[in-house]
Order: sequence, then C-alpha cells, then structure tokens
Amino acid sequence: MKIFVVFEKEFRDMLRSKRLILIMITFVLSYVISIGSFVVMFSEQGIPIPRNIIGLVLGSLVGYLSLIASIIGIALGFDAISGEHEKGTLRVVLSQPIFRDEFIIGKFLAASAAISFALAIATSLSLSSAVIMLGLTLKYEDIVRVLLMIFFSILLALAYYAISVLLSTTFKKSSTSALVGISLLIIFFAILPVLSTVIARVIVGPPPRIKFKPGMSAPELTKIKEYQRKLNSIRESILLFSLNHHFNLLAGSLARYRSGVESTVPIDRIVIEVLSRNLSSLVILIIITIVPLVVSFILFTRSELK
Amino acid sequence: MENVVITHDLTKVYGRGKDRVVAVDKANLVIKKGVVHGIVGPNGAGKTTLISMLIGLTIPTSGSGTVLGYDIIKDSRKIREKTGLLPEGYGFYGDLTAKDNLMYIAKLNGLKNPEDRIKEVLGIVGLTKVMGKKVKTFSRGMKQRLGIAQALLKDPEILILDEPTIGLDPSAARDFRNLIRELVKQGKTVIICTHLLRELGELFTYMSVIVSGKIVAQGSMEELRDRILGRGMCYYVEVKKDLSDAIVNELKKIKGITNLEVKLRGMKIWASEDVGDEVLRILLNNSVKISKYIERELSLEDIYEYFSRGHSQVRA
Repeated sequence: MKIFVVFEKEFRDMLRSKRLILIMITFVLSYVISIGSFVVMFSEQGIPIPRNIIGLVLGSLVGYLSLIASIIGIALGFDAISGEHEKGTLRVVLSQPIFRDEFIIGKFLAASAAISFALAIATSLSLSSAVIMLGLTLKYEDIVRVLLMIFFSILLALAYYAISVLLSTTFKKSSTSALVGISLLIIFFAILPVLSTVIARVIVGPPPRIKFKPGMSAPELTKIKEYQRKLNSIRESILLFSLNHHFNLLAGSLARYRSGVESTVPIDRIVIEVLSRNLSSLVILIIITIVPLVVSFILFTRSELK
Repeated sequence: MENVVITHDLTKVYGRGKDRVVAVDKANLVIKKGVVHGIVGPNGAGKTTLISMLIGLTIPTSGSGTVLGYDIIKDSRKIREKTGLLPEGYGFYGDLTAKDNLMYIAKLNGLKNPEDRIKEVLGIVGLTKVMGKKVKTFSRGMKQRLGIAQALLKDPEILILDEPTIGLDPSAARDFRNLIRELVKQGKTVIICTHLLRELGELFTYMSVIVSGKIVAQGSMEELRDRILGRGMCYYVEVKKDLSDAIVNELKKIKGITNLEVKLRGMKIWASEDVGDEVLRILLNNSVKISKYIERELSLEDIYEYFSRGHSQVRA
C-alpha cells in the first residue's frame, strides 16, 4: 500500500522535525514554570497546597493545550503541499506509480499520528512535573479526564492541520500559508474573545444602573440577570466561529467539573454530562477537520503540475 | 522500429478568457524505441507540459496518446511504473540522505530488493561514497547525478530528462552524455527536453522542435537536415556597412536560398544547395566590403533556429 509508504516517511520526518520538538519543549517548560510559580506562591504565603488543586492544575492545562495544539496543527500543515512544490519533490513523487489521493491521505494519517504522539508526550511530561512539584496523587477519574483532554486537543490540532493543508494547497508559497494560518490562530485565540465582548456590549448597551444594597427586590436582580444573559448569548454566538472556544468548552468543562469539591460523581457520568452539554462543539471540531481536508483533497487531486 | 510514444493532436490549455494560454497545441509526437529523442524549444515553448501529459501529471484538454501502448489518461499509473523522470531542478528532500531519498522512491515503486538496487544505481552515477550524506550538502552536479539515479531506480523502459544539464560544468555535462550513450546501448529510450542544443544535440537520434506549443518539425537528424532542406548549407556574412534593400532583394532571388535573415551589419543565409559563389559575386559586384564570411553545412543549431523562428511548418 503506497499510503503506508507515504505515512512512514512523513511520520518519521515530522517526529524528527526541529519545529515540532521546539514547540513541545516550549510547551512543557512554560507549563512547568507556571506550576512552579504556584508552588512558590503557596510556600511564600505559608499556605499548604489544597488537596483538591487538581481542578486548578487541569484548568491551567486547558489554556496551554489550546494554544500548543493549534500551533502544532499549523506547524505540521502549512507546507504540506506548497513545501513539496517549492522543493520540487511533488513532481518527483507524483511521477512514481502513486495516486494523488494515496499521497494526501498518507500525509494526513502521518500528521494525525505525529500530533497524537506529540500532544500525549508533552501533556504527560507537563502533568508529571506538576504532580511531582505539587505532591499530588492522581486518581483514576483524573487520568480519564486528562486522556479526554488530550483527545480534544488532538481534535483541535487536527482541525488547524486541516485548515493549514487547505491553505497549503491553495497558496503557492508556504510563507503565505503560514502567515494566514497564524493570523487565523490569533483571531480565534486572542481577538475573537475580546471582540465578542465588545460587540455584545455595543449591541446590548450599558449595564442597568442599580445600586447594590441588602434586601434588593427580585425584579431588580432579574434585570441584572437578564442583561448578563443577553450579553453572554451574543458573546457565545460570536465565539461559535472560534475553534479554540469549542475546545475550551469541551476541555474546560472537564477540568472544571466539580473542581474545588470532593466529587462523588462517577467518571462515566461526568464524561456523559460534559459531552452531552458540549456535543455541538465536538461535532463542530470534527466537521472543521473533515471539510477543509475534503476540499484540499479535491483541489489537490484536480490540480495541474505545470 | 517500434514507436513507444504516440500522440494525436494533444492539446493543453491553461486558464480562461484573457488568461487563456495554449501551452501545447495539437502535438503529434512520435518517439521510437531505443533512441535518444530530443524535444527542443525555447523556454516556455511547452516541452515540460508535453512530457507532463505523457506521464499523467497534467490532464490534456483534448487529443489522445499512448506511452508503451498505455493510454496517457486511463493508464497513467502503469506508464509511471515504466518511465523514470528527471524533472527540471531535480527535487529532493534536503534533510534526508541520498540513500533515504532513493529508498522512499524505491518503496513507492514497490521494488523487491531496494538496498541492492540503490547501491547499483548510485554506483552507475558515481555517488556510492556519499550515499549516507544529506542531500542539502550536495553540489548541483551531485544532485543532477542523484536525480538520474532516482530516475533509473525502477529500471524504466523510458527515461525522461527535463533540462538535465542546466548549471552543470563541462566535465559533468560530458559524464552525463557518456551515461546517456551507455543507457541507449542497454536498449533504453531516452527523451531529453532542452533548449541547450550545444551540450546535448550530439546525442540526439531524433528531434522534435516545439515552438509556442506547436511541434514545428520532427524526424531523425538526417531527415531534418536532408529531406527537409536538401543538402543544407548555412552562410554567415559580416559587412562593414548595413546592406541595402536592393542588395538583399537581389540575394533573395538566388535559387536554393530557403531563408535570409538580415542582421546588424551582416546576414545569415540558409540554403538547400551550395550558393556561396553566387552570394559572394553579388556582394562584390555591389562593392560591399566583407569583413567575415563563414560557409558550412547545416548544424543542429541551424536546423533548430530555422524551425524555431517559424520559417516552416514542415513535418518529417
């Protein structure tokens, strides 16, 4: 099978790639530093580390995973096709007895494996360091939560990979493809969350002027709640366009689930509840992985090698 | 002699409307087995598009063709199993070693003993000692040799080389020519696309001249030289002052002159017979001061220049 020849070569190249190794090291180091700062803060204030800090540990991991998974997806995908064009290798490979669909599927499988491997290793290393530094004991439930978070981060990375492959198929230059990919990441990760709040505030208007005092009447409280509900609803609608927001909903709700309290809810119920509450986010991440890949596939198989 | 490549009105059009470009225009190409066939034309003439269509890298807009009896559209994978391509600019994974690059190609071709075959082809091109080195450290000449090794790896029946000697030093170009001669002795068909006739022309048994997407001449070198132009001669004359129109018109009337091209203080004449005496007579009668006079039989470059400038649409 030619797909596996491409898979084998691409997977080996990706694991050897300096950019992937550098991203993983950056991720692990920055996470370890942030956990280390927690430890220092607790010891400086003479507060014992809370027993239920795992919720906080996993919660901070979500933010790191969201960024790092997106970067890995872009880093592996931005030159998937355009890079081969630039090196002149596409012409050499496609002049062999291989179909284009075998070539692009082999690449996608290799990227999926490399992304899974990289995120699993980086998360394991980061979490192990946090466990050692904070003196935590991970329960079975925590491990399941971490594994699911890794799974969601793989989905996020694959969505970014798929978009990057589409960009790489559309643009002739890898630099253009990388630039557009990074711009999308900045929009999804940093601009949309701020912009959504600004837009929501513009639409809903300023908050109702109510002076808080004890024994406030129910209608006044309802006014505030109604204002907040409208604001959040508009924010959420805008954030639907952000890939990272969907990941945050999935992984974040897993990390935060009953954090701060000793949970007696069995893990299978937690997983079912989190998934059913955020099913649309899961579906969106899967669709955003599949659609750009299918479009790239069609564009690539129909493209001309002049 | 068996034909290994036959095309009928093969056409490739890129773009639409104002951007419409006819890259290859109704090409009827015939390539015989076991020869070196040159596809010659200036840059942008359509050579690369033509060979891309032969191996299924580009789908023709219209027309048809076969390579080794296989249809170029339906059976392109089978064609690629039996043809080796050295693309212009080569194309390697710089971070991989020469051996790893070839191993990838060998696996894509499903070779049974890739290690042995890789050593064999690297031996043929003289790169055995550097097989473990990363390709990004290779010189242009080494990359070209590795490109040939890559094209030879599957032991193809047809070897297609696209501008194979660009940037090579004279010694590397000579080695390359010797290698091609050796391959033809082994019964391989070699197709060379080039605009560098000086370096490669001597290898050709057959030649197709392609200009602006059209094959304007095709045949064996003898056919092109003799059957089309008769006993071809070429004259190059340099004079002290520009020639007047009257003299040029008088020269054009000489029987046997197939083309006369006036240049700055000179001219180039193509003729189907020896017209040297008559040319000199007219020039001297008109008191033209001649500073240089060269008379020779038509060379490969003269033939190419003749056809590529659109002087004829003759096909052998």
